[in-house]
Amino acid sequence: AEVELKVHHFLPAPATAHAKFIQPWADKVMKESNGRIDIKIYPAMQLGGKPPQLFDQVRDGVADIVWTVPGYTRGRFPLTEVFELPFVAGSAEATSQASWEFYEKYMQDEYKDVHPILIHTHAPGQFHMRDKPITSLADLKNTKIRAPTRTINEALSIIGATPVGMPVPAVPQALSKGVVDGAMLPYEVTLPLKAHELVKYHTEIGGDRGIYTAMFLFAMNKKKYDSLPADLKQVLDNNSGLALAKQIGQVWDAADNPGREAAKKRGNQFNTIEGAELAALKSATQPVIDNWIKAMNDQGKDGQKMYDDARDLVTKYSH
Amino acid sequence: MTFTINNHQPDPLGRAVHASSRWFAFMGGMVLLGLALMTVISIVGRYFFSLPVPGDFELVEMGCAITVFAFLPYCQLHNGNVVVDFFTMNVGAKTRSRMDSLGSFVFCIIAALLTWRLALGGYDMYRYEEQTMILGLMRWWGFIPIVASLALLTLVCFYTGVRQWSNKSI
Amino acid sequence: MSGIAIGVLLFGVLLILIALRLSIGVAMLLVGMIGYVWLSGWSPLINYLKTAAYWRFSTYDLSVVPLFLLMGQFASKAGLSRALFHTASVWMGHRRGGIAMAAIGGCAGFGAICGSSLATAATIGQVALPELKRHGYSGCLATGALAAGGTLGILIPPSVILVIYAILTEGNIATMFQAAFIPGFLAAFGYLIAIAIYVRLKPNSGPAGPESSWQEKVSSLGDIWAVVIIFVVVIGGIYAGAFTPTEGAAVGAIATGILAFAHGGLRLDGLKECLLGTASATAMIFLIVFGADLFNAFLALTQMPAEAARMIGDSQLSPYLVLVTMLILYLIFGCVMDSLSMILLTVPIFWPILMGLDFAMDPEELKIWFGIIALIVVEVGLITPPVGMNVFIINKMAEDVPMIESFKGVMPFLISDIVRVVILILFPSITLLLPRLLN
Ligand code: NA
Ligand code: NA
Repeated sequence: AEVELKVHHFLPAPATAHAKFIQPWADKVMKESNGRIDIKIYPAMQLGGKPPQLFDQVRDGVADIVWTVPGYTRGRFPLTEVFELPFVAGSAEATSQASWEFYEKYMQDEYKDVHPILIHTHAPGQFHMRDKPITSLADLKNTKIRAPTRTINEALSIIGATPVGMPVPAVPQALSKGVVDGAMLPYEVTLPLKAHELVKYHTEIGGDRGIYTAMFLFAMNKKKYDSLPADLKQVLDNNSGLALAKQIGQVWDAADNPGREAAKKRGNQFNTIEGAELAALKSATQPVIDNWIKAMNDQGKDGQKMYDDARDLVTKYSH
Repeated sequence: MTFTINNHQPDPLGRAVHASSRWFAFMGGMVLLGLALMTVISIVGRYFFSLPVPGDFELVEMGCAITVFAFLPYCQLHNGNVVVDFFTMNVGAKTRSRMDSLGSFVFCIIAALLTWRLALGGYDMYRYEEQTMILGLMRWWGFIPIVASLALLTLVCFYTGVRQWSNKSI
Repeated sequence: MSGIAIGVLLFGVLLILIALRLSIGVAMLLVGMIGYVWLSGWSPLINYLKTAAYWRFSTYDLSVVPLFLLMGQFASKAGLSRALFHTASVWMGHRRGGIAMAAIGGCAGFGAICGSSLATAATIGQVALPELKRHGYSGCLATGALAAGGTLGILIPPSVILVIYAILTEGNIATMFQAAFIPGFLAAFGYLIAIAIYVRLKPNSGPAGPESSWQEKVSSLGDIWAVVIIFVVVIGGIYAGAFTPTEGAAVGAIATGILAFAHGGLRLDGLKECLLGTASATAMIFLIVFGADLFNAFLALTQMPAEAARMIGDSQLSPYLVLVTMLILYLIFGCVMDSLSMILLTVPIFWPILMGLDFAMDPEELKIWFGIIALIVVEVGLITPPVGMNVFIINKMAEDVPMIESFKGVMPFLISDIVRVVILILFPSITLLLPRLLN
């Protein structure tokens, strides 16, 4: 092939990201380039390093394309956190499109060192608890919860829970033995981790917004992209951006179903936080949002406007 | 394992290299001991008060890196690295020592490369203000002892390489 | 040149450099770097190196390694090795070959709180060798039993090699420890049988010692309560999932540290000695792990592991034939190489191959089963000639025993190892029993 692209990511090959997104995407690009682009995917960090290094790897050309979680490197992508703030994210389909548009409007500078192909999210995550259900804000006090993003960890601290940071593979063991009382995850992940077999209670968030989600970045090395002939650039461009965000968002929304079904089938209890309790949770976690806005303002940006914009964009793409 | 013939007293440079490697290893060990203690406190806190040490996992990770880098110079100085000596059993002690010397110089170059690269890596962390997930500790400060350890490792490799070249005791 | 050809070529270069006395970690780093530059370029390499070592060394799962090593250091200072051997001799010493059996018992006990083979051999060797000599044991049996017994340090959990294997295959460390438990005790048991048969054939090599009174026997148990408690708390806690392996190791290190202090062996000088010992062993292991990281990243770039897996998968070879071939390769490499580098070099190639074959087994269970069998076989390398590190260490302590005698002495134990491997291959459920029960 004329161009060879190495795609690097941190999940094993059966994972949603690999099987339902990266592999089909690569196949499509290879086909549309008439075989002039050859793509090799290296799952599970085969090219070396740990997940937080992926962004640097694509920036520096260690890999040509990576799929990564910008939040793994706390502090580096502050704007990206806006969709991870409490009650901003809606469905993955809506939030992914919103985040792409938000990227084009505000975040070009944050990702100027790479060529983003897609920015997307998973469907909002839930509380998965082993011994006691969460039905109110008060239930969360003094519980040890494993949570994946900086913003949700901050939110948990503020409402009196103890956030526990641990690598994802350690979660099942920690759940089964009560090292943590619960974990925040999307159903997409509870199934492969078999977390639904280790917990009895799931708490979902009522309304059209979730309490948390995580952002993903699928980006290419800038130099590599620039070096391509115009027609091959076009092939990649045809498989980038808003339309892709919609499609991949749908993939992640759908990926939740088997996990939720499995939990149901096992007879786990489902609760929903709504009404007054939801309002209480929202106002209790408001400081996380205020802190983010203030941090943005301190950098000379208009935090409030960006926050409002992000929320409006999610509304715009929700149907 | 290497056996040396001439047993000269190490020169001032040698004494400095020995003392600083030992000091780095000891301090690294104290960090390790501190991590163990912190972990035990965290377990006790978790079981009896439902209150683990915040960010215990990330403290272990960061401390472990600092510890391991601090251990590297001492290990090199005391021939701790695994060498397969079966195929060279029949060459003379002097030749073997020269081979080890070349090995030390190769390691010296790699250590110098790593010192340079990790210094830049640490500078990146500083520039991008990368922090740990729970505690929000700045990652760059961990690079200060790490880069110092690597610089010492480079010096140690050079020193062992020179000593081995003339088949002198390290 | 195709990626695979480059992969094979540089693998050969790596072996040559190792044979020429380049330390294994440095050799893997050097060759990995050359390969990386060859396939990807200089600038990707030096960018990769900016943070690769940092992130590798700040891995939560790997932090268990220095902690277990520290625990082993403290355990020797606390006099636990002496207590273990003493108790075992009181109970078994009156039999023919009994003191050698006691050495095995001491190794098994020490192996239950120490994660390294060499440390176990050296520590028990220190207390057991003079006793074996005093009772008139042949140098052959004495050094052979201790060298083989040392491998129990790795075979009985905790075990550094299993930690590395679990990380390489994205497995669970606690599950690997569970799986190692029964095969580990089978190993100790097999060694006892080997001694019993050996002294029956050569009665002069291991005379019976004096009989101890029941009172002595019972009171000797009081000396090893600490080991039992530490093992139950640390390993039991890890098995039960009450804490992570790292947390278990931390508890163990602090507990043995306190014991060592109470025993009087741990003052400032003793502490320094323990920390420096931990430093050397830790740095050696992490350097190899980092070197293997780079080398394996290069191998992945060559596509050699994936290609090999595909070719062997297509070849219709019997899965068991492939497995046995791998184990024989381990035995051959084990003659001259150390176990950690063998695991680090081969598992990224072997594991994808095995995953592609049909063993009629769940992939998670295949991972556990292969891990334990591979562990045993690479540990055999520690006692096979010409380079058997355990034999070297023990032989160096027993100055009057020729090396050839020591290598003769390990033969019965080697046979016991082979028999055990065959049994574990034929009956995977022995290995899988505990993980199945506990999870
Ligand atoms: Na052990
Ligand atoms: Na050997």
